[in-house]
Amino acid sequence: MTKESLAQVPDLSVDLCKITLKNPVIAASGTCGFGLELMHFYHPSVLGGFSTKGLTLYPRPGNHGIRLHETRAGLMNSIGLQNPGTEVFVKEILPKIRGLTNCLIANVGGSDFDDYIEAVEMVSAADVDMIELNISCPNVKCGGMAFGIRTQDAAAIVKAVRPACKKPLMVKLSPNAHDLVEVALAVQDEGADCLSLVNTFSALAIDVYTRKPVFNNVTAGLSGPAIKPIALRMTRDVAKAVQIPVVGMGGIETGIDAIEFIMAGATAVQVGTAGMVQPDILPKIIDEMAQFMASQGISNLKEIQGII
Amino acid sequence: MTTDLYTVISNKQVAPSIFSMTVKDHLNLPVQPGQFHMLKTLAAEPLLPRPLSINDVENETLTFLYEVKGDGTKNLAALTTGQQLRITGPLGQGFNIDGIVGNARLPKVLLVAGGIGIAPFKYLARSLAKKATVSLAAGFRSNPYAIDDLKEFVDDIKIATEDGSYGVEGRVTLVFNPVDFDVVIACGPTPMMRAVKEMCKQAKVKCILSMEARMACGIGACLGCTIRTTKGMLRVCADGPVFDANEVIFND
Ligand SMILES: Cc1cc2nc3c(=O)[nH]c(=O)nc-3n(C[C@H](O)[C@H](O)[C@H](O)COP(=O)(O)OP(=O)(O)OC[C@H]3O[C@@H](n4cnc5c(N)ncnc54)[C@H](O)[C@@H]3O)c2cc1C
Ligand SMILES: Cc1cc2nc3c(=O)[nH]c(=O)nc-3n(C[C@H](O)[C@H](O)[C@H](O)COP(=O)(O)O)c2cc1C
Ligand code: FES
Repeated sequence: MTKESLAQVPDLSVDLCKITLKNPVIAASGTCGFGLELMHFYHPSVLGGFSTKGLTLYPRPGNHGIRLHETRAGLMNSIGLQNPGTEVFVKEILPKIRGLTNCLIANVGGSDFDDYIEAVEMVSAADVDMIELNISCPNVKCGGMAFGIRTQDAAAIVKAVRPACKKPLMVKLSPNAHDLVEVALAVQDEGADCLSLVNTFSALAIDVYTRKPVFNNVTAGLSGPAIKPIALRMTRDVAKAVQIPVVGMGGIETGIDAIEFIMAGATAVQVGTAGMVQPDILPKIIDEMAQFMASQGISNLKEIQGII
Repeated sequence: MTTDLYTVISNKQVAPSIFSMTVKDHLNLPVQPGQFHMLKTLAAEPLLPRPLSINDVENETLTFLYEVKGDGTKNLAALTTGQQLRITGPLGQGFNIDGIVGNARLPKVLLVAGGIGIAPFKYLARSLAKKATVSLAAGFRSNPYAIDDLKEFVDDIKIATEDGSYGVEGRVTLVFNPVDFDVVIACGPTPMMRAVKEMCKQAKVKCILSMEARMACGIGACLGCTIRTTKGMLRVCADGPVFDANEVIFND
């Protein structure tokens, strides 16, 4: 093949912790259920992979009251990790979804060390490809994000979980961390295989007529296009500092947005809110990335990864 | 269910703040009464699509009846013939016609509408016609709307308005007694649904509710639209919007 015709068929595949993803676009945790709902619109195998709804050791009913609130170019959510628990996931859900992708990422959360360890142990022993450790959920009391804010807490939870994790360990960082780069470095030192960022930004909405916060928990997590420029900057900050791969996310809506994250240093990206706005957007993002690469004569994403 | 661009055939105001929009149903997917679609104009904002019940399905068209409340419905109201919008659907569990009719010959079914809650009842009444005796009790703040649309399919119509401008003055719950019916089906604001559920419970009459919640994905993937039920937190978009009233737990 000539150089031009090579550029016509750009290679979108990327390696993430020894797993080859056919493209770098992963459906983000909490926005695609367990992958089954996507089947109405496309087969999940066209994606690089998907990350499940956050799982906890015991089933959680999630938060009461309003769970969603739209803001300018953004979405605030306070779902509160509603999930059936790790045991139901492993026994009943996993068999149904195992075949949907060759990169099935199980997102795991918790509220104390023992919960986290036991949940990671159980899920990573099952037939999943990767664990995404959620230390950044802003919507559960005394947990989740609490571990992602201070560097010593983040290091301690990764250190505790690492021996229990039998699969590659991706740690999902919170943009609300006091020092995000310091957290990233500490988590890397404790044995994370890769990082994903960002989870939602802690945010507030007030109903001025009732004179109360919109959400029962007062604050909720902001996602969507509004956070993209900040998430992009954070992805670059972290990618520059660490040696392990970084999966970037926050407000990606188009293939061009995804390319920006790759240029900022991400190996792969996740897409959340945009997939809820338009359920078939992820395959379109992949096509747009391929078109951009073809038009710019880029044959492999490595050529542009981290160039900024 | 699918997601695609649809073309507006007509979009007209039928009462103050109330619009009826008909789009070309080029895909012709089967639609159950009580199901809904997520609609979004091509404008970037607001970000999320808005859920609207299916008002009618006829001759390869879909019709939505909606009240302009905020930016999302304002954008919809500004669409003109020939323009395109994105529609995802049909979504959710609609009314189970066989379940409603059951084994009875011409059971007596009452539809209770509060305001724009009347939207799903045209297609429902059309689907029940000849299988049941259908009555309508509709409540409005002021002037009634969309009533003429239903006349063809219902045998009896009772109207209440809060300002007394038409029909009985007061709430819709004044104009019917559940004991007169085999099944009561309600769609409207939460206080009305709670009251109808309570009346039916006292009267030991089967009651079905079409519930609302704020939505994001509309397809059951985000768990943003859950309500409390006797079976735990269920998703209005995927497990509903139609629920047996006995299952629904209203927060006090
Ligand atoms: C299954 C379902 C079917 C529906 N069918 C119809 C219909 O056929 N016709 C119709 O006019 N309306 C229907 N609605 C309600 C409609 O979706 C909301 O009125 C609409 O989303 C408001 O959007 P907006 O941008 O105009 O207003 P916004 O500015 O978003 O909101 C205006 C007000 O409406 C409230 N609201 C926002 N979203 C919803 C929601 N999804 N449900 C209830 N309240 C909401 C907000 O809290 C706010 O007070 C339905 C809702 C559901 C869940
Ligand atoms: C409704 C909703 C639920 C979410 N649930 C989870 C979750 O369970 N675990 C998690 O790690 N992140 C969760 N997230 C965060 C997303 O995975 C993602 O980090 C964030 O939304 C930013 O990406 P986006 O702007 O593309 O949505 C959730 C986000 C949303 C909007
Ligand atoms: S709106 Fe997402 S689950 Fe119902």
